[in-house]
Amino acid sequence: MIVKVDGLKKKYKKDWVLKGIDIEVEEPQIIALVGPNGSGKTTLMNCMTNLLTYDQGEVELLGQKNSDTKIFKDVSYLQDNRILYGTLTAYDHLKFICDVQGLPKSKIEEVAKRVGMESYLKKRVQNFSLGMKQHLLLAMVIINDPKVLLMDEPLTGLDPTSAIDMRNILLELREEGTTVIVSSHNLDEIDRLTNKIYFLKDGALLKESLEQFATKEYYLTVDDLEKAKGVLEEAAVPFLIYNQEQVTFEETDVELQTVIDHLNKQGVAILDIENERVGAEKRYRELFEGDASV
Amino acid sequence: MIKFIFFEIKKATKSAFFYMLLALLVLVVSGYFIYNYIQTERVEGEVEEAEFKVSASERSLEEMGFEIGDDLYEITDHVERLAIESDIQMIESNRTRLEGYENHDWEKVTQVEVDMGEEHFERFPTQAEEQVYTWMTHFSREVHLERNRWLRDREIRPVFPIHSFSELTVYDEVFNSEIEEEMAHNFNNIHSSSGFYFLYRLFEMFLTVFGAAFFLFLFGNVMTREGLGQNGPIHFLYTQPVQRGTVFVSKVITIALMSLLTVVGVGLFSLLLGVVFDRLGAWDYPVLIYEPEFQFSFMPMGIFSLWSAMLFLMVLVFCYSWLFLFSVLARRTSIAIGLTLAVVFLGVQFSEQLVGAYNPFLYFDVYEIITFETALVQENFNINLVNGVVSLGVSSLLILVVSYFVMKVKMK
Amino acid sequence: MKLLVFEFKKMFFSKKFLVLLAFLVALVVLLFFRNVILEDYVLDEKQSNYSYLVEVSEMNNRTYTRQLEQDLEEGTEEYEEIEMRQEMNLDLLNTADELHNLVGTDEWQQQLNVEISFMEQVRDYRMAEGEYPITEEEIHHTLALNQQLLAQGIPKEIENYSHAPPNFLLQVVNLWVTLGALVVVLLLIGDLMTSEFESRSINLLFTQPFNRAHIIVSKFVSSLVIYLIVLVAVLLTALGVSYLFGTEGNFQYPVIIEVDGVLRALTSVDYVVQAVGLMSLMVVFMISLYLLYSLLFKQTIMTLFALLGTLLLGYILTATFSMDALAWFNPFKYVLPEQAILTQENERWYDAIPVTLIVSVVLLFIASTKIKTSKVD
Repeated sequence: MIVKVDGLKKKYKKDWVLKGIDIEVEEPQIIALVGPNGSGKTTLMNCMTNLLTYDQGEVELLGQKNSDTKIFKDVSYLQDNRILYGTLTAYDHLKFICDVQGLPKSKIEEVAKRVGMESYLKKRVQNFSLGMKQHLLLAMVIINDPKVLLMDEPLTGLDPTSAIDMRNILLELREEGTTVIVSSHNLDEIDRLTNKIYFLKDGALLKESLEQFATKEYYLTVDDLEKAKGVLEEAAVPFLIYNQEQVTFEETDVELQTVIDHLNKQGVAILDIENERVGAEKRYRELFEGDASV
Repeated sequence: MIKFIFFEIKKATKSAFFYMLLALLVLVVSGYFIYNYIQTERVEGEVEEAEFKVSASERSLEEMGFEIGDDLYEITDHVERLAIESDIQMIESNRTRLEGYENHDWEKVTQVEVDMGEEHFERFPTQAEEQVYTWMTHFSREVHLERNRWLRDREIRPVFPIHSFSELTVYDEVFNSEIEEEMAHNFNNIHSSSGFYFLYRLFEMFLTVFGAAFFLFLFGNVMTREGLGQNGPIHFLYTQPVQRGTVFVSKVITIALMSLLTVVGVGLFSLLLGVVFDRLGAWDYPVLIYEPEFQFSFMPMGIFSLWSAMLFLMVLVFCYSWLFLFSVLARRTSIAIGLTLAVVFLGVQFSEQLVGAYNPFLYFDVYEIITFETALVQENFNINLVNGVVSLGVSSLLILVVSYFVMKVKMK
Repeated sequence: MKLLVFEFKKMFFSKKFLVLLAFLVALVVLLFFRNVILEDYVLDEKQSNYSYLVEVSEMNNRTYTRQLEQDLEEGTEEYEEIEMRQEMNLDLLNTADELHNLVGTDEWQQQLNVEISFMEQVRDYRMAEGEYPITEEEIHHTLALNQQLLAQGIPKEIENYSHAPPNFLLQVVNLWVTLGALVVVLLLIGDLMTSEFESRSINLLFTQPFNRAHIIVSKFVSSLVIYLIVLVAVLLTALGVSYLFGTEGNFQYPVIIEVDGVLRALTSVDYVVQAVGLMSLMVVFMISLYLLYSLLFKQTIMTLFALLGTLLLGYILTATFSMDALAWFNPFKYVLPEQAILTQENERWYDAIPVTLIVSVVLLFIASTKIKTSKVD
């Protein structure tokens, strides 16, 4: 088992901030952790890496208890940029990791090149922009070729090119057999990374991944929208009207062919069929409708 | 562990503030050296004084119509004979001194003082016949004699003044007048730009609560820098494959080590200043050590400075342990330093009556511990270097252990 | 005004302030009970001190006897001198013994009188070249204090171990003015401004539509108010606890000060008012200096070091070079205000009030100008 989180519970003062989280990962893959601010994403990751104590449950990474610090040879955690030392250079940070983990110095150049930060490797972190810090944080977590990589908001402050680079690096890592658990607010980017998404709401994990429900959403343009509405309501097909002009439904709710059959039977002409993947964003909206923010 | 220590050193030394403080330290030490250099009684001054005394005595003899070589027994007036005798003695002793100064024959110079001291003790062999509380006490005179004997036997170049009024000890509790008191303090306030003596005086000023406060600032943010409780760099350290305790212990070792280096560096720098601008001086220059019941001994100055530095380092570790405790509790540099200073201040002020020799706050005045002055004043000779190191060490360890667990608990 | 309230709220509702306040109040209460608990111990100490003096006299006496018996011929000048000294010494012995017996009794007037005659005897004895381990200073001081106490009909309290409200208040005030207030202010305002730079929260204030000078003024005023709250809390606790659990006292209790070499008495109320006043003035100076330094350094530890370093340097200069003539121009005179009141040699305690005030205002003005161009690095 690569990652095993079993019944993890944590409370701050009187409030439960994690209400029993279970995660099991057996195959290398990318898992996205999505939820609004305060839903417990960072807390969950901090607990998983034993940076925070928790009240109940167990965490095993690569078959080891997370209290054993030896795991960090193969487990990396990309955190907030507050963990950086302003007075030290990027090189100092990377060298320290190499020293502690017994990695060859050549790794530093290598990883700097991979992340694209050779030009400011020897500069002090306090003069870095947000994006530069993010590059350094990425370099720091991939320098040891981890088997498990936890990432808390890795895309913060990255320009589009860097974001694409970061995505490519993550996809490469997955190819190389790294399991990545990433939290992000950038749902578009998540969509491109993985379709295995865990939604965290009020400290609980909604155990549905996008794979389990619609992966496709259909938009039908019809000649008589009012009639089509009536037909589909009668047939008890779950659907929505999009933009006052299209009928839309999800693949998991009803098969496309079924809908086409119903409409054709009642003489509604279908002018056009479009389909789109149901993105994380849509699912997110459904789940957190009315919640404060993304 | 060693990697962590190197990393800690790198973090500490990569700040402008650290170098500013070190520069300030160099500046203060150099400034104090210049002050000592100016205040040093040079041989030339001693020569001048001796010559003046010789000529004054010669003039006095002339006035009395006496020439050296005349028969003293021809003089019948008792008072006049005494005056002549004293003038002759004055001339002789100062001529011997002058000879000594000229040839740099320090044995000769100190011998004059020894002779005078021995003569004094022939007349007043016991304390009962002399002053016990008023400067100069019998005790101080004894110290003066023995100090000069020590200098003579080891042929050490003395640091002037070495005359009989240059001694001031704890036993000199009372002075006959304010002028005398001022004089005694002035004579006893001996400066020298020679390496070892300067170091001794520098450590006297530096290895105190003020020195400790300086070090508190030098390493004040060693713990708070990690941003405890706010997802700071401590999380980076904690996600490395090492025991958590390593992070804590390596910090303690690092600042202890760096303090040691700083103190040693300051020591070497002072010796260097002495060598370059004056001379190295004698490592075995005598420092007075009190013993019970009006007894005393001397300790070579070099060893004295070494012990002082050692005890001071323990004092520092004790301060650091409080700093760590307050850092993990309050997580803010200013509060951590402020509370540490407050605890030290209150502890030194108010814990005199507590737990006797095992009270760590007793040991902040490093010099008075090693000379046993504190022991003598408090009438408790258990207050010594060893007990100091033990009580400071044990209490530091306790506070550090508590800090470590507080930090663990605060990881929630 | 809104900014002022905002700043004040930030300070007043901080955990740090409340904890510190509670801590100080607890400390004062603890100090009071320390005095109560150690009462017997102090009386014992006093008694053993007198026995020590009795021993000293006994030893002197033996020496005189031996000298008279062995070394000296009867009838010589020296013999008579020693004889006279021996007599004086015997008087001393008796008086010390009497004092020893009076310790812990209620006869305070008797105690004061006997101590006066004891000190006079010591003085005479020392004039006759006798040896006694009591300094001239102590003699003068004790005489002045005791005479004053007798004149006013106030029993003597043991300094720093009293349970009477005025004396306990004196003790607390003395602690407050010797470094106590300094440390408290350091803790209260230590990162008042610098933390705003460190966490960049100052940018919030910098992007508001008001004159930036108001930031300095609000921070200054709110820290001063906070300081005064702490001060009042400490003084009230001292008075409260000693009224509740202590003995009766007299606020006319004299504090002996030296003015141009002459010993004078100040009532404890006057002393408290002067000392607390001067210290508070010093705090005004400190806060102003802190605000300016924090704009220059923008870093907590550096600012605090510079602040303490400046105060220490100022104090060392004041102490090393007695600056009688310059007293009017020395803003560091009140770093330790106790000394400014206790010994007034060719200078008066109030000399440096104007300069301290003026310098503080100037510092605040410079800070207000400086903040207008201040940037977060």
